[in-house]
Amino acid sequence: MANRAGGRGDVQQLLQDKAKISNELLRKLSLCIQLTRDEISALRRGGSEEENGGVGAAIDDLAQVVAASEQAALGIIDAAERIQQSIGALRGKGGDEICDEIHAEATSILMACSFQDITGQRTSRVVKLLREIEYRLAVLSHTWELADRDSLAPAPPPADRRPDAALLKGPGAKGSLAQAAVDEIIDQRTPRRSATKG
Amino acid sequence: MSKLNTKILVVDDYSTMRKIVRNVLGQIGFSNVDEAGDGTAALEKLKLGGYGLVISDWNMEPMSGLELLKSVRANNALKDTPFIMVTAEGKPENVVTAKEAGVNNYIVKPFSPDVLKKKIEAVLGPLG
Repeated sequence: MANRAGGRGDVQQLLQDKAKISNELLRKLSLCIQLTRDEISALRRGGSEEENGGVGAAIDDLAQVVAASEQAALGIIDAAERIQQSIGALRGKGGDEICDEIHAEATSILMACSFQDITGQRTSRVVKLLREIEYRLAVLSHTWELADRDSLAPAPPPADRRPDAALLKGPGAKGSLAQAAVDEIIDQRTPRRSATKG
Repeated sequence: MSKLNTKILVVDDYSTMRKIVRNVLGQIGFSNVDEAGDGTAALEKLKLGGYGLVISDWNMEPMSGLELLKSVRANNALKDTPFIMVTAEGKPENVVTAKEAGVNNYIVKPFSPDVLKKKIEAVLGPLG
């Protein structure tokens, strides 16, 4: 009898322990869910109390950076071209060597403005990535019911449907070649013109 | 007819690059230069005729430079038009793909005016 009573007590103790562990696990799970929801909300808001507008606003900011740098670069190019034109008017009046130097420098300024194309392409890649993140966050919000219950599921960002999209890695991609190496590939694949008999 | 009278189409989605290439072409001596902002607009212009050289970027939307090149090579009236790709895409597979599609020369951005002139001469012959 004593053994049976002792056995019942053990089972009860075991059940109590199991319930305690289950409660603790549920409490931790609930905490994780709350933390995840908070993090998703914070990411969508922009991550700070100052509210910088979230991922969408970051995309807009980058678009404005591209537009502003394009306007600045065009202004610099216009100015460099005006210098080149002014130099043309000065030629033949003595100091042609200095004219050549100034013209060459104006050309250097102009060529340096090609940075806008390179930085623009890199920024566009970041914008694409941010759009993808924005979409994933929207999906998570929808899943966790952080978004308005009646709102539609978020639309995915438009896919790049160009047939050669997979080949477009952008400026400075790992393994990019210098001009001399590009020339070698082109030369190797260009049939030699037959020499003309003189 | 002097090679410098060749009508050139500069294709790039960045207006800064179109302006830079146009300026360098002017310094080389080309004055008959036209522009387009992507492959689709370029193809429309090319179909009007008269172009003796295309200098095109690759990464443009909706029609890329590679698709433009393929369209040019597939068009009986345009297929012999010299085509130089000027692009930031510098991986070997890009160069090989462009060459196999029929590009005449390939310039990696950023480039110098001297490189552009040399590649044009390599494609058109000495400019005189």
